[in-house]
Amino acid sequence: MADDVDWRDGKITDAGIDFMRSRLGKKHPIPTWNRAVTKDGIEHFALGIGDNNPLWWEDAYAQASPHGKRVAPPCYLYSHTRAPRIKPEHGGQSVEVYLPGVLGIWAGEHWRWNRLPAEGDVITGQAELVDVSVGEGRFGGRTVAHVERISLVTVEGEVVAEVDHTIKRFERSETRERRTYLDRPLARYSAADRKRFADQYEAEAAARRGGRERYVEEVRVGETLGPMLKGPLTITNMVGWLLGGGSNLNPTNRMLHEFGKLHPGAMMLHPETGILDTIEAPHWEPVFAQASGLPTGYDIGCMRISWFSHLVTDWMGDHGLLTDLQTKIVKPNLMGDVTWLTGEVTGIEDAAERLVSVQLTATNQLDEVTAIGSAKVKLPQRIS
Amino acid sequence: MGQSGAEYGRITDAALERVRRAVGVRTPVAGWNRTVSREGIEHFALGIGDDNPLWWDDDYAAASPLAGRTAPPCYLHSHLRGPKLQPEHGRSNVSAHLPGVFALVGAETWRWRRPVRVGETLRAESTLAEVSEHQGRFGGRTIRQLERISVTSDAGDEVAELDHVIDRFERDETRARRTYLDRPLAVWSAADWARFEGQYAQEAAARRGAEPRFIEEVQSGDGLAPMLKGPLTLTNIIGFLLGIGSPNTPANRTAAQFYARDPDARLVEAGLVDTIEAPHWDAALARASGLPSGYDFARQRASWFSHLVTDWMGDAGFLTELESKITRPNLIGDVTWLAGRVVAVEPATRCVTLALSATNQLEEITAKAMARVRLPSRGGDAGP
Repeated sequence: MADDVDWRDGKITDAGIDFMRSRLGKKHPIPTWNRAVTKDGIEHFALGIGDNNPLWWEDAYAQASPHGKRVAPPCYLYSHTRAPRIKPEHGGQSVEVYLPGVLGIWAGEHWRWNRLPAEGDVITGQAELVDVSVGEGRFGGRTVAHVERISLVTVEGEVVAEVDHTIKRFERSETRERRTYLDRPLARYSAADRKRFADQYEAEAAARRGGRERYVEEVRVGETLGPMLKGPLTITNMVGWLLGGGSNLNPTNRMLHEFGKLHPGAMMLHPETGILDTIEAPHWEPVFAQASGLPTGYDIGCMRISWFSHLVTDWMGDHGLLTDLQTKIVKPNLMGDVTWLTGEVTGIEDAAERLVSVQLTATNQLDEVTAIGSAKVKLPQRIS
Repeated sequence: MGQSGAEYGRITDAALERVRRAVGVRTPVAGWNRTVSREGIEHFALGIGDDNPLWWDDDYAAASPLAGRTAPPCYLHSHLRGPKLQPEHGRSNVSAHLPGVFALVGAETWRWRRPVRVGETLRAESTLAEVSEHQGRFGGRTIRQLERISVTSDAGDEVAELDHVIDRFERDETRARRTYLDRPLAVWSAADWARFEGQYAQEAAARRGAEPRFIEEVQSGDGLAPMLKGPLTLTNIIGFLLGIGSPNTPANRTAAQFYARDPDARLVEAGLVDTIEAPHWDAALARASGLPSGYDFARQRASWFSHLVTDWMGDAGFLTELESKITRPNLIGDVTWLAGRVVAVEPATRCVTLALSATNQLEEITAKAMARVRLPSRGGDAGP
């Protein structure tokens, strides 16, 4: 089965690129981890990003909020895009269908929300490949970036949100040779560091805007957001995120076997143990990570994007609406790394529409920027 | 780092005396899932590799003797594994007693009254029922805590009861004894893999499903078809957690607040700080605990046993009791072969007793269980 897929030295071929191009614009439904939005599902996601806003957690608070009911954090919708494709009619996910065996890294994403998902909504997804481009990557060599658009639609037909999801593909032989990250030092922390992190986490909840309106009139260009801390990254933290966001690549035992038969491109063979695992395993299995040119496990791109959305929702308050979040992952977030999120208001985009634009940055303990983002937020108006 | 200072990680007479004083104290159990949903059922079934359409397919379930979507028996674990974020959630019996002392689930006994259905909201309460001293799996001093958990529905009836045995070991001792530290880790060849695939490919066909297994056709000595679970990977452990949830994976700010409230829910070992559950997936913390690699959850093997039984008994059977004992760790890389046979048939009550075992690739028995099943009768007493 997965023996046909050379995940270690898979190549970016012209035929593979042509095949992708032939699939442009073809829409298909995707299975979702959550379908009905429930209190349990909302809390699982909020817990996985460390977001303790009572808007997601408390019925009474949520009912008294402008939403009038339990709503979910914007990126909770990841859980409506991620589920294992256990039936033939589910098709395959882009990284296994296109250029199987070639390393896929989450490069960027563009979310657009029309509203927040709310308890009781039933939301399913539809995907479509919208762009394929060939270029030079930061690892060098030929790379391919493909963009998949997922629309999240209620059973009533309302589009709640849309996300354009960019994956960059690299040949693993290339990424290993370049050693861009293989020798990056891994983080070690002292008791003083831990104290600093604990103090930061203590301070954060108090900085959350919450039920107090942040009016568009009081926002100034140059005003800062955060900082907000996420980390140090551990497998525990990754498991925590997955528990809320769901997973398309963790079926087990008999069902994993059936999944592997349907999706040979989603499987990788462990070079030391001879175990067939899924392409999600490099995130937590160092041997696979090293074979992909990374010194250890690393986060899932959507974790950092969810973190950015947390920075924004904490800042904007419960009356705001995050309408747009565009992010680029620029460096890996490795096990042990801490991520400091900061932001700055860059423009009052449209006073009549009450839209404010914000620039976001994720920085690790080496002062490297690992992700950047830009968000648009709709704020309440003092006189309406 | 914990509250208990010098006692952290030690079984002292004073600490033991405090545990004994807690016998009889009732605590609420936070649920990961609170309301039974299709998603929750499917996430659990996916995590144990259980593809029975009874859990997955509305139409099939509606036409079954259960007349609707119900959950696999051990799904109820997911209603016992919520994060204890609020003071009213209390603390776990592992963090509250003998903090820092290694905890492994040694045995559990489930007694199910009836299946649970989509839409039901469940509550659970736990009582520390017994504390005793044993010679444990690692050979040294072992403290055994018996926790009795009752799960009730919103209608007020008890849907199940669980006796949950947690064994406590000093990590210094488990490391020094090296009982498992040098156990060889599994490495698999392509031929092994072909054998696993052959097994997985035929398992679903052996599932009894909609065809009733009548009490009249069961004989003492009948064997249950073998079932394979493994090789165990971190991916598989995460898959299982995605179904049952976790009380120990809050993230970032929520984690900091959780640990501020319950410092002993952290594991501080070998300069690392993580949750007490982290040795399951963190190889360094596993070794610090005397195990050569990560290892499964006892609940996982108990859930696997329940899968063996539900596949065998058919949709019209009802698993009323499952008493499982863990005898050895199931390490990452291990395969588990489940087997069972009928040891008693009571036609008057339509009850059958099964003896079950779990065996790894070293031919070691890693768990044993006794199950009781109520089967339909040809004479008309049908249905669970």
